[in-house]
Amino acid sequence: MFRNAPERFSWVALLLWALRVGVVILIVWGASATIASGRYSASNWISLIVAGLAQGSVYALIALGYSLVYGILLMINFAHGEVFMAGAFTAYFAARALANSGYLEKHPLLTIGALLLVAMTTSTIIAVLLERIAYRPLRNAPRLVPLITAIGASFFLQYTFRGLYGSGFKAYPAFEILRGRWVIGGASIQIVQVVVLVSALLLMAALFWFVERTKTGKSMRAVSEDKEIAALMGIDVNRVIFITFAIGGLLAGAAGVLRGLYQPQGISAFMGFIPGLKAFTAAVLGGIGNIPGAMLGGIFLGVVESIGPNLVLEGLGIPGANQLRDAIAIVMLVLVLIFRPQGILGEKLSEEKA
Amino acid sequence: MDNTKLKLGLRMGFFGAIVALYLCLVGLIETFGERDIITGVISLGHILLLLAGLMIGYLTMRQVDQHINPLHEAERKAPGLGDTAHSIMAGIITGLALGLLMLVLDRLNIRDVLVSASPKLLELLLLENGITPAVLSLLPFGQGLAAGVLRIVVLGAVLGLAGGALYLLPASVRRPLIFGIGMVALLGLLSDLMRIALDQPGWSESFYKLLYTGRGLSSQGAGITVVATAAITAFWSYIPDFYARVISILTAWLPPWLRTTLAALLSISLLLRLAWFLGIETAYPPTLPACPGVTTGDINLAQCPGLILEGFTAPQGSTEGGLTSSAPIVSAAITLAESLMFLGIAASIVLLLLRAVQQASRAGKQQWPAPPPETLERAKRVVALYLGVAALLFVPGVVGVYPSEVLVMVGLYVVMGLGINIVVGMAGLLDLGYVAFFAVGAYSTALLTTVDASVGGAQMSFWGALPLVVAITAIAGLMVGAPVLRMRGDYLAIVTLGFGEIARILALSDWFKPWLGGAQGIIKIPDIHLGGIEFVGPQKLYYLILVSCLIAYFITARLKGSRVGRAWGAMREDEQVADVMGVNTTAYKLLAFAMGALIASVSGAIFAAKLGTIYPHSFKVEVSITALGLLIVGGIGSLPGVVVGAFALVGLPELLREFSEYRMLIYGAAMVIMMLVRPQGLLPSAGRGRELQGEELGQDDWMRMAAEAEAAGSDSAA
Amino acid sequence: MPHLLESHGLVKSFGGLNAVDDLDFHIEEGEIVSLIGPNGAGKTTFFNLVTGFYPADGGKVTFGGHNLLGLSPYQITKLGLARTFQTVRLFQEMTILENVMVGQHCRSRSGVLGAIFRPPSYRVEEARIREKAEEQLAFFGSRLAGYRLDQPANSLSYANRRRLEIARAMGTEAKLILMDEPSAGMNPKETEEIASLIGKLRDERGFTILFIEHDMKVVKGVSDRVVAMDYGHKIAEGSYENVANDEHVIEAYLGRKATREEQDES
Repeated sequence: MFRNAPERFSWVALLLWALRVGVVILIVWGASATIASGRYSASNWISLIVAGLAQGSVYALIALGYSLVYGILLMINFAHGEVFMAGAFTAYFAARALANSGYLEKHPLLTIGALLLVAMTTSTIIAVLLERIAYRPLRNAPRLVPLITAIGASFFLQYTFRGLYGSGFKAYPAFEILRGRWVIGGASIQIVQVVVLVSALLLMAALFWFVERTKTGKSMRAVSEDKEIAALMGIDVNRVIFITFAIGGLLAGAAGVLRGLYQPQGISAFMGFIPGLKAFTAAVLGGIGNIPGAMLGGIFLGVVESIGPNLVLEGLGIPGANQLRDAIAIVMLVLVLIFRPQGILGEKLSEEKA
Repeated sequence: MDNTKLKLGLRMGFFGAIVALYLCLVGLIETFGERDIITGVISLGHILLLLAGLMIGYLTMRQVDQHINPLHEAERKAPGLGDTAHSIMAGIITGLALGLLMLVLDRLNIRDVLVSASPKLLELLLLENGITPAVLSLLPFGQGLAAGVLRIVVLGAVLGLAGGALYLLPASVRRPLIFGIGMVALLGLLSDLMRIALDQPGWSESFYKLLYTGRGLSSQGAGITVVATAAITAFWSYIPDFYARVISILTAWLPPWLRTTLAALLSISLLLRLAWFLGIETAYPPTLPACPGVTTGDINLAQCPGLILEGFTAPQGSTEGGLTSSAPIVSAAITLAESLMFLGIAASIVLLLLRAVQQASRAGKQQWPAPPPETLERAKRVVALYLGVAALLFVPGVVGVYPSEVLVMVGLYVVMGLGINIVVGMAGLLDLGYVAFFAVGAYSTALLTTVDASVGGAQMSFWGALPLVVAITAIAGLMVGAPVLRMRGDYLAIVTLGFGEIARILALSDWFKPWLGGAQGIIKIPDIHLGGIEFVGPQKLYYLILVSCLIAYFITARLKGSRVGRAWGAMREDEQVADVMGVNTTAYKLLAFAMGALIASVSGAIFAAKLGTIYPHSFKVEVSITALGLLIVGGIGSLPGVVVGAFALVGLPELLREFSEYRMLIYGAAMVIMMLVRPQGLLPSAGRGRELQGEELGQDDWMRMAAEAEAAGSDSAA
Repeated sequence: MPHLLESHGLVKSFGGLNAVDDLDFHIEEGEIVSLIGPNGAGKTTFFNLVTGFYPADGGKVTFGGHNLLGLSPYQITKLGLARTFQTVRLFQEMTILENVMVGQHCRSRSGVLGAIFRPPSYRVEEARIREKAEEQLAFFGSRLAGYRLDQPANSLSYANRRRLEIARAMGTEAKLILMDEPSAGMNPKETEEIASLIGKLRDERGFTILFIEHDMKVVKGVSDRVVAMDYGHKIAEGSYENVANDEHVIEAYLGRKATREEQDES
């Protein structure tokens, strides 16, 4: 009556192996072809890598927001990209006002500080409101419900900002001190990229200190381990979730300003979508819920995205390789989720988290 | 005064102020201010503010009510008129916020930052522009800024009061009132459509003139609408009864042969008219009543048999030129069939009257005929089906070109919605990259059928290409499904979203330009032919879409109650347990993706042939979100919900050009609000939604047994 | 003749801790065996290994002569093994009848085309699935039969949810049903009912039953044989009286000698 047990040999496993080998071969082949062609000099690569580091540090800042929230609520805050956008937008208006009043020219560094402050405040408010209005009532709902809400909120915010502030691209006013380039050993590096990278790293260090050393940080970690137990231990879970969203907002707001500073074509209401997707990739790459992982994942993704098109895709003879930049992140996301869903730094997630 | 209630009023006022300011500053009021609802009286922008005011009043009252009556049904006490004070307060606060906005708009130029804070907005808030002097003179406080501010505050108070009072009214009064106002808004919104559809010589023109003037409803039209809608709403519950009565009279009093003949004649005439309509060789056929020969009278009834006979004896007319050259014959046939039908109807009326008189003469024994229940039920169904089919078939001819275009778009989304319903609603796989399948369907159709030599396609006919398109897209579905098999719900959502983006990026890239045409896309996609019928123009495409919708609906409905549907359902509810219960979840996930893709491909194929040119811009993530949104608004898993959702989310915005800019804003808000307030959707599918609402029926056995035991104990004690 | 289900040297470890450690187990056709042991003894893990939820780290499991390790849960179910869960896991939004009909999935074969065109073969099969499902529900007498079978499963009371879960497992036409604490969360009367139900399942329907249980009244009432586990090992086996009086079992439940406790803590 019952047929024989099927073979143990799994076609799926074989396919996965083939895919793995194929990807590696393509990368190696492309990279070696590009390097052999000598199209780019070492200094070209250095510039690309620094650009990638700057870009990646912005991803990392956004990714931290995803990762922190996921660590605690096990939900993807799909609208986080819009929190980032909101920061960039507010800072734009502040920057313009400061530029018009001449303050920017006199105290450029203080201006950047003020912009960060303004953007971080706005983003924090939006992130916290989002949690309060859209997510908190649904905390015990089936998993897809808050996700759908988040998608809705994401579009709502995008189009709200468009409605409020118009649809065109808006470029930040020029900062004289950020405009130059440093030439180090033949490689020319944009100052703005260095500034972005350093500011992002400082912020991440501050976050790391906060989570590891402060009492609130410890309670955050406790809640991410087990909400119920943490509540029994006297931790106010709602407060911790509130703080988590607030921190995510702070970092995203800062990321918005940094992005605005080095993005020549300016910002728009739809600027959050793709970076949001990429930051999520970065968070998954590093192991979602894992703070250092999100940082590393972001920076890694930035660098891969920066050198990938030139290094691998051109080597494979694909025309217009830079157009495919955005696709790289998504392909990486898929590959990571297939082969190592726990990410680079993540440990094997328990049944319920994975 | 109750402190908590006061706080409630303040909080709701604050909330109302934010909503009102948001509506103004995001640009909705200004944009919608350009559309008249009642010409010279009120614009859509004003309606929006009005509704906001009413809602605030209403919600405040509800909050107060819930505050007074927190727990027990038995101890409920109705809130009194005095409680409207809170509603009024909330309304005043909302009005104050708007007044403040007016002052700011007048004194400062903040347009530099907030693009919608324009003088136009101020004008709208002053309630002076675009309003006829007669109405204007009714407004208090005269003209000028100060008067305007004062007016809007008072208006806030009035609306708050009205909203609160609305809550206090019994439902039997409230519902007709709300429906009446809603219908005015709807008919006002549809005024352009109505003009196209109705403003033609004949009875429809006088009907149009009765209700409409200028770009909106006339005042009397609005009045008629409110009264009529309120009346219909109030008597809504009697309609099924009335219908049953009519049908029972018809079945009992008309002899069967007459009923059959009438139905047959009606069918013949419907089909002939349809054939005539589809056979016309133009993208924009005239509306149906203008069928030649029937209305112009150049075919004499006596000539009809001869003409039809001629059509049969001279077959070259129908073989060489398709249906077109046989148009006179068809017209003649229509004339003949319809003349006979009218004869039959006249005969039936006479018969019915005779029976009625006969009935009346038997004084004292006046009873309505009551056929056996089964016969009645069957007759009711048949007549409803008949009417439904006739309505579906004749919509494009009756409503004209532009509304048909809208219907075509709605239909495309209905098909997509049904497809995504398989993936999301049935199998529980949240796919945000659904647009990719739509795109694959459209692109493969384009490549296979285009006559543009530069792409070097196969130049197949649409029908030859369709099976290939479906197969290709189903394979694409498998390819998307395979890598995401092991991913859990929310990861899957993001990854599929990514796939959708990749598809678009690749289509735009130089890499694929030789094959997919880059940003310019693929041109010269031929129209769809079938037999002698050429599906050009929305009115004819409508039929193609209608058939696709019906097939997709049929397929999904059949799958829903089948073994496959149950396996998907099990997987949606608990993937691990489904696996343990013997469902090969891997295979069924792939199957869901493939089926979803397959259905989307049909939509994409028709889309490509409809436009004649496709480019990547048509396949943005917004399409996925719209398809998902209509599913959510209609109710996840519910098939009628998909249709309702498509009309609400695609049909309405398509009709209202002003909407297009705010479309995604409204979708986003709708998704959030639906999930928060009504997660089961407008038309929930049976059984679903209870879990989404987290409702538990507390009827555990032991509790009941304990209660019974207690009852038994008290009985015996007594 | 081989045992219906047997395992040899079965091992599963989580992060270095062996949840199931070198477990030998067998059950004969027509037997009712209860699996007891303190929390964390590895009972549920054993179920999860047998039903293909977790991959095993070592050892062997056969069912009716077939090796089970490496098979997917659905394949194992098709071989004739079904289970229930400690925390009731129904298909909440599906109707009561549909829940049981899903159980018939592995005994039927119609696919998409059948569902769409509904040929006679499909109708016959669908009717059979429905009939079988109703038959399973009828087994519970007035409890579930005729109980608004088109209601969603989540409208049921807790005890009825447990019953429905058992009906669903029966619906797979399994030879062996694994039940994970069938009486958990039930009141004494319902627990009693469950115990007699387990007996009836074997006597009237011919199922072989392996169940995890904490309620010793149930264990005592229906088991042909009792297997006790602790720390992933089998520590005792035999009739209820033998196992209940076994030194290791008492130790496992009531505590260990001081020396071992200290060892554990260090």
